[in-house]
Amino acid sequence: MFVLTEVVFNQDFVSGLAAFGAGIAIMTGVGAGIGQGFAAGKAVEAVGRQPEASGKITTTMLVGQAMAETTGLYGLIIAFVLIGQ
Amino acid sequence: MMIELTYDFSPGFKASIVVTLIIIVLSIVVGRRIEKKDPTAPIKGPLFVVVMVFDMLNSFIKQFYGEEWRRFAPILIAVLMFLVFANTATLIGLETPLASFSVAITFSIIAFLIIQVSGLIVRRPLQRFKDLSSPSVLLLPVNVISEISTPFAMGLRLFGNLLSGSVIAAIIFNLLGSFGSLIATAGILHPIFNLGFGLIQAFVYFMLLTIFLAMSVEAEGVSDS
Repeated sequence: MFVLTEVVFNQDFVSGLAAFGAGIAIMTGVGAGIGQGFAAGKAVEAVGRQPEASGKITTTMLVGQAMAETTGLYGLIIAFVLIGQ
Repeated sequence: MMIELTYDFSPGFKASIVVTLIIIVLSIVVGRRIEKKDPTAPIKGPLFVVVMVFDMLNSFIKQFYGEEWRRFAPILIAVLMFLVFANTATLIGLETPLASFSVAITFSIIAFLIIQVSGLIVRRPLQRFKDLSSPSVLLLPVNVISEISTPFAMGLRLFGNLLSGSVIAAIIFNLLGSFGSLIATAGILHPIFNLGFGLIQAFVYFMLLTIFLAMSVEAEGVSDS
């Protein structure tokens, strides 16, 4: 009476859902993009206020943007892992 | 008996060995040439550029470590040199070493060991423990987790950036034919992904390592200022 049936999904179904998840994971790029754009805008304001410090501002902005990029890159790595499914 | 060096290493790992050899040879050659120079005579040509870049890096490190910068400058600049050469390695036809996960994780482990070991040596274990439980002992687990996760995030950041660059390059190579990809490689892709992002990421890694090392080495000084 008690028969354990193992549910086996179609491989196409699995990889299709994995690709769907990868697409959702890549949406982290939205946040990273907004953050980087915000940093660039503030840097432009700072250069406008203090043009003589533009070199230092550019370096700081690039470092901050590279930090903000990290969240987007985590999404990218997860997307790569999912694509391999 | 011959040892087969090319056994089954990944291309990224092989490229990292080649990059290390290039750095060793360049350092020896430049070092010997600078040693032979008369200290009073002016330096010209490529040597001048090398001396200027290293002077800039030393003055950057001096901002963080003050008098003790000589203790920390060699390892920091060695890491930066490896990253600069590794991230531009595709220009001479090698695979990017940092696009291989094992190399990126190795960089995380290196950063973790540099920060923790020099923190323990300079601050002594008891003082280091007090630094880690600085506001109260309750926050000790949180601080330990952040000490572990920071180097991990630094390695992952390098890996993700270099991997995304090489994946986008591969996609564009597939879309364009051989001739189109030649133009795109020479003119657009490699300058952006290797010289642009690669060098920025190398500098960011160097800067973060400098800052976190300074925080672990002189936690008191940072909190005082």
